[in-house]
Amino acid sequence: MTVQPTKTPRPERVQLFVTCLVDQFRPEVGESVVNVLERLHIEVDFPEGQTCCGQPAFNSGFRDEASDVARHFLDVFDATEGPIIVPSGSCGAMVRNFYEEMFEDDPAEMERVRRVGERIYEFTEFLVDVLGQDDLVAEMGAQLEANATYHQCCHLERELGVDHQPQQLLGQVKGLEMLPMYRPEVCCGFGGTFAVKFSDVSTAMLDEKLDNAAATGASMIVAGDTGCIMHMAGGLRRRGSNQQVRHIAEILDEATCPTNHAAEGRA
Amino acid sequence: MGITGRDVFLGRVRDALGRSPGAPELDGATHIGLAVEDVRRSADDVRREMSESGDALLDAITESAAMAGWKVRRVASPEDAADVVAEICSEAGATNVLRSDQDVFASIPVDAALESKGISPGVATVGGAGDDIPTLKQAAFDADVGITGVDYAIAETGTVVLHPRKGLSRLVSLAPGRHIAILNWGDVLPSLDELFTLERADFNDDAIHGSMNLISGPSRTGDIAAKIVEGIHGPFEVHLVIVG
Amino acid sequence: MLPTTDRFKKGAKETLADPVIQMSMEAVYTGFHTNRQSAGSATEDWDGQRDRGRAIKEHTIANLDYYLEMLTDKIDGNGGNVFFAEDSAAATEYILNLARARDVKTVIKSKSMVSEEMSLAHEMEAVGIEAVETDLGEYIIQLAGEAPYHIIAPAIHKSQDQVAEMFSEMTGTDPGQTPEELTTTARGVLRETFQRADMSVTGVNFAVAESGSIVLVTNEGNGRMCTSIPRVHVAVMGMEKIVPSMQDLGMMLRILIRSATGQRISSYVTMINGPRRDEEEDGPEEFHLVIVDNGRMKLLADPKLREALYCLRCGACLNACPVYRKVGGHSYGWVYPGPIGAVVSPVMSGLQQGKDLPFASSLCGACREVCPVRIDIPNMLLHLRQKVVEGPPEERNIGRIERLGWKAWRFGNMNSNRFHAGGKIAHFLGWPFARKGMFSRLPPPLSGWTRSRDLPIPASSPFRDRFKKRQSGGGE
Repeated sequence: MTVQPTKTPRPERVQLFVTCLVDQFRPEVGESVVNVLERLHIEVDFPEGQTCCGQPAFNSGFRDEASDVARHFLDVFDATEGPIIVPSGSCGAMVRNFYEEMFEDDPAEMERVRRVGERIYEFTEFLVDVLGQDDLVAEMGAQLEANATYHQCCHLERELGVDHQPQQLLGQVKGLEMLPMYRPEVCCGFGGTFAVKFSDVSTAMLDEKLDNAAATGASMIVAGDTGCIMHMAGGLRRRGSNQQVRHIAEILDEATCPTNHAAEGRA
Repeated sequence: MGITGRDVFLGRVRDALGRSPGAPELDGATHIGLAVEDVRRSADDVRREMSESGDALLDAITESAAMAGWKVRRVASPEDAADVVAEICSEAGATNVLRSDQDVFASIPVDAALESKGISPGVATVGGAGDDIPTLKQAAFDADVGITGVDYAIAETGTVVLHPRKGLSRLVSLAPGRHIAILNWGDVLPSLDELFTLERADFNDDAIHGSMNLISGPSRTGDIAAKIVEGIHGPFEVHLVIVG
Repeated sequence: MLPTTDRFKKGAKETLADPVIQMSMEAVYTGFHTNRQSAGSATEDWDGQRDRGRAIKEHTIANLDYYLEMLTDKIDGNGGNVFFAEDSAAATEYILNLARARDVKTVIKSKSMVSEEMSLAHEMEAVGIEAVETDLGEYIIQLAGEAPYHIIAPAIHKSQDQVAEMFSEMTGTDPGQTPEELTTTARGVLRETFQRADMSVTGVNFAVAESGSIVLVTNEGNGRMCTSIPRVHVAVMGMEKIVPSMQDLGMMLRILIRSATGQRISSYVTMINGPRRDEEEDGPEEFHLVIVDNGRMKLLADPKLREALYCLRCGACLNACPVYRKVGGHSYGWVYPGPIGAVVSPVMSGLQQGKDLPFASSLCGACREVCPVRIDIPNMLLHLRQKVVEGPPEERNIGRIERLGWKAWRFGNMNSNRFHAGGKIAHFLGWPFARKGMFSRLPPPLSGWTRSRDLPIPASSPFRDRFKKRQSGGGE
């Protein structure tokens, strides 16, 4: 569905759809999202019943299993109100774009799909389009002495159309030098179970991406999807590289943190 | 031989679509719904534009043809055009020159200009007599240069349009290594869309030709290591001589 | 062509290990794709034109029977012949019969992917007809005895040295020739062949229903040679390559050519309105159009796959695809490689055998982004994946272990307590085998990951625990 994020008065409270990968593998990303939102005086609720949006099964052709898990997702989030923030392009796209596909033959379910889908915003999309202030992060005194290169995660960019918001936010961080990568829009090779089922091809794509990232000389890669982050970070670790991979929420958190301590983030 | 196997095939298409036979709802997506009078009127508009904007269109084709890979020369008079054609041929060291049999050569004295350089041009026509076709084919493949007029040119793409017909063979602009096309003021169309408007009107008036060639530069290939090379099967060099 | 779609993983592995091909394939991005991007930005209302192009194709395919009927009536009226072929065997039989009846010794072919489906040149050679591919790329792979590697650049995987060596073996020329010299050699050889050809077989880029015209888009000039010299011209087309009106052509040509090579227009666009007219100087006496199904009905019949028939065969999706660029054209195992190939090749040649193809994609969407008629390839891949899992028996091809795996996944994700517990269990079980919180070796299927990447162990304190702690006053 097309969700047109429009500028609205700052909501007092939002729901966090943290995603299964962040919850289990990179919880600090979730913490960073909460930190940034709280600094903007927005309260964050975490509906505890949430598990996964169902994308892994859906992408693997197992729509039966995926739709059961999706129904559970709808159960959890339909019982809440207000914007639902998700720090992931692919999970956001799953709910906003692909739930319709899964439940198209079920009119009753489609009601819920629409109701919940309309409330879903990817994290950077929410900050830029919904809060609608061009210097939002700068106004928070965002500062980070570092250099980084940005990788354009495919679902974020092509399924949700979030093609400038992350860059715009990063641009507001004082002291952060963004070094452009060659072929930033080319897929890193994660693709969910593709990374395992077609590991040779996935690895070849990863190598190209990491070579391009290394060539920038940046100390870290910034991206918006945790699957891609784990894939790139895992490859960097295997190469023995010091280059880190961070989620954009972590960068914004660190940059706006009152104590501004150095990150202990994982590579 | 006619048409073979249509009914069964179309039956399967209809089954696949769940469609019943008959005309579709036209939703404006395609131009096919346009009435014949409208097509004719559009064609008249196009022809008017060709002369009303003749100067601007000539400027535009000069630029776009060069971009498409034509070697472009613009001259003021038919005599100058003939001289340029002869110059191109003699500079290329051409001895065997073939031209089409089109009206353009009545006003542009190409034969005389070539003769003055010691080149005797052949005329690529057999008057449509089937038996002589092998000779025409041989002549086209043996020629160093082929010279034709231009039916239309297209400013959008730097294109020369030729309709093979009596007097204009398919091969004269294809087989020789060099092709020279002579374009007159007033024959330039703005874009592909106007070309097809005219073609459509011709079709409606039963005046369409057997074929049409759009030529936009020399023959090209990129099939060896992605390196662009000119002159694989068609001419490696094409010249557009513009009069006006 | 017989499908070898089940060889995808093997083919991919071989291609990944071939440095010459990997280097050659870079041209797909640095050349074609980059040029297409520039052409798109430089064209006024590019997106609007693509939307309209899609609308035309959508309308045409939805009414395909109507337009095919109109097309054939008009061709018949022009003095041409039309043969409807259910499959490639029927199409081949028609053409071979025609060749025999017309005492044809030499056939020249210009680019036709449908004729690759038929392996037509091979079939002709088998009955003693000389069948020569005249498109330079097709000519090269015919010499090499290979299938095309790319929809519009069949020999893109070959390096200059490889081509020079092949030509050297054929003509005795110096094996170190440049592309210019090799082109000159090919020009000479093929010029001689053109002149003695009795029949030509070409493809069709567009067939125009309202006038019974066919349109060929080429750069080399071989399409024009094929439609000017031989007595008999046979055009072979997939049943979907049709547009309603001549007036639609302007836009369709624009979006096709700019998407394929980035050119404003190709060197040649040729429109054929039947056999030559009586007063013409030259041209074929006979025109035959062979309209081919060969599995396209399956795409047509499935509303979710129907848009695959909008394809203009421009190759833009191949040029944008990071998977295709790595695995090359032969890995796909049938006529059509790349993103569009991952849909049409298995559907047309057998989904069960080709089941890997729809999965061989990260669903990055680059293909959809560049398609001139906005075909949603990722969506079709997802649909095919569902068929492989949940479809009818003749299409299903998923192992029992994977099925059980996803059932277990469902179980774990239907309830947050189970989900939470699952993470904890994985953490504790894995912890002794991980170093600094990372695995570098795991058993199958996760061995696919750890072959080249480390994998983190689930966090000892997942987000939900940390959030709970914050709420209860644990602080940041």
